[in-house]
Amino acid sequence: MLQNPFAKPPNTLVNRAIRGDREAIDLLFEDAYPAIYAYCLHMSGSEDQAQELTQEALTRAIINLNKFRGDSSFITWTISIAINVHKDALKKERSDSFEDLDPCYNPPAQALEESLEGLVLRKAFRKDLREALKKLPHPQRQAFILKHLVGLSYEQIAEVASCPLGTVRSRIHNSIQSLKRLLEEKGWP
Amino acid sequence: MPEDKFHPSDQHHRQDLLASLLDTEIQKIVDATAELAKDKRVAIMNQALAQSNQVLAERKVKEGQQLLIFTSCALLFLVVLALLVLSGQALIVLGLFGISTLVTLITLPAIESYHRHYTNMGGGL
Repeated sequence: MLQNPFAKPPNTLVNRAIRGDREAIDLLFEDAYPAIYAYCLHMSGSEDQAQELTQEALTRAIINLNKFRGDSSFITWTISIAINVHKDALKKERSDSFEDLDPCYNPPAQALEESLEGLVLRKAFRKDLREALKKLPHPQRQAFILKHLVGLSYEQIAEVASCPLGTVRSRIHNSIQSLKRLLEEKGWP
Repeated sequence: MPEDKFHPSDQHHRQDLLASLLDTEIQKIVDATAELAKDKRVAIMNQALAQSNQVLAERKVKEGQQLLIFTSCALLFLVVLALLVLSGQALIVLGLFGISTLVTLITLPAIESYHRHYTNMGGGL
């Protein structure tokens, strides 16, 4: 297992993966896969679409492994592929639906630990958060998702989104402010 | 609704409360996403590997075909060239050389661009 998820993978691992070594591929994508999935899930808002997009992104990454030069971390390289896959999907008029009720925004019933009232409130809050996230402009939503739901650093977001660091910082700041404003409008807290 | 649950008089306190609620819920969403990704990992990875193996196999076949065509053309060209040299028609030989060089120069960028397009699966990485 890779120690640091954002570290560059050893070249030998990439070479083994290029040769089709399943174990090497699994190791290589150990940390990249959840990041790609998280990005696809929160950008598309649909579990089914997230599965399709992740699959496509992974396929493209595996096919083009020989083009990974190691200039950036493996995660940023694969997230860039996921961003392009999502863009292509949008071009094919598969708009961000947010129609499926994905389980991430539906807290599981932990009735034993939490009161029914608390659970209902949490559910309502997540529903409103989801709606608010949907209302953000695309660049803000993308930056917010990459920072808070995928876990990339500001520098990595600037790299994958091909924009200056200052822009990334302001997009993330604005996204938080917008989310707070939208949630306040809904009566939270 | 939410208003009934929380009634902090201080606006600053409300802001802090909202920020804290947001942080907590985001963390919970992150955890839930990680769980969901874990559940689907095997299926998604297997599908992606099957798809990539198929594309790579098709690519190999295509490259093999291209190599075969290129080799055949080169051999044919050499045979024609040898025949012309043997029959002493040097001018035609020079002409053929010129034409083949021109054709190569014209078609090479197109072949290269097609190859790049093919390996990138048509949308860049």
